Amino acid sequence: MTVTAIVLDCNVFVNWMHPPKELAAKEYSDWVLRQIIEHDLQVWVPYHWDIEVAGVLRGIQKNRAHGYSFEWLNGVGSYLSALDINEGWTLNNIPDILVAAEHFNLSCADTPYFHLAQTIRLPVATLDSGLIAACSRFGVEHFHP
Amino acid sequence: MPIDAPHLAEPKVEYSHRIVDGEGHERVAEGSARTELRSGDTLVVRRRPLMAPAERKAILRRLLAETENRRAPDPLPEGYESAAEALARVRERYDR
Repeated sequence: MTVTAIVLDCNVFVNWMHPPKELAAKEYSDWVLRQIIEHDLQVWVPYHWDIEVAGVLRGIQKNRAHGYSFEWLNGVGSYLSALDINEGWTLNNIPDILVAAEHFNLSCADTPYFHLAQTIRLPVATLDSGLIAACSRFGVEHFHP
Repeated sequence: MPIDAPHLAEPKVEYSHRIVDGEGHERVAEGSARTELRSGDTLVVRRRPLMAPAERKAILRRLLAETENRRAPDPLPEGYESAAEALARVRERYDR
């Protein structure tokens, strides 16, 4: 089946902005970006994606003496603008999130990714072992080479 | 320290909202989409990039070139797993 869209985990995007320590993670993240470009893939993310990405990037950047540089922020903004992003919100209240998290054995931050992928039947691009395990267990495709 | 980032105020995307219920029926969200949601609904917000596809691709290709040329800060010295090997290992663990 031809993939036209993927659910994109926060950490894959972050790896594009800042290289991860593990080379395998970098290679995987680069591969995902290559697929997005070559196949013009649409990207789907849950509603809290921007906050999650910003939180991780802040953690990476906060030790820098001069804070965020204009060039760096501009780069992040440009790359975000260049992606064809849909936000999808499938878990609309706290009880639904809690029940789904328990059912899938995922964190409350990871659950919206997985539930979104399952609801709209898209593969998940992730390096998170919990999400990969849920994909395997609940019949959601893990986007990988 | 204030962030000198005037570009953040520039509109680079526009948004459209729609709600899809559990049976696949769609309706356009009006007002506060968040308050219209019911359990089982999917709210979809489309961010439409305000640039041509060629321009978008050029930006993403630049990003890819940057990431491919960037070394991991602490690469494993030798015998590291390839991405495929690492993922296969994780998948095998959970496929059992």
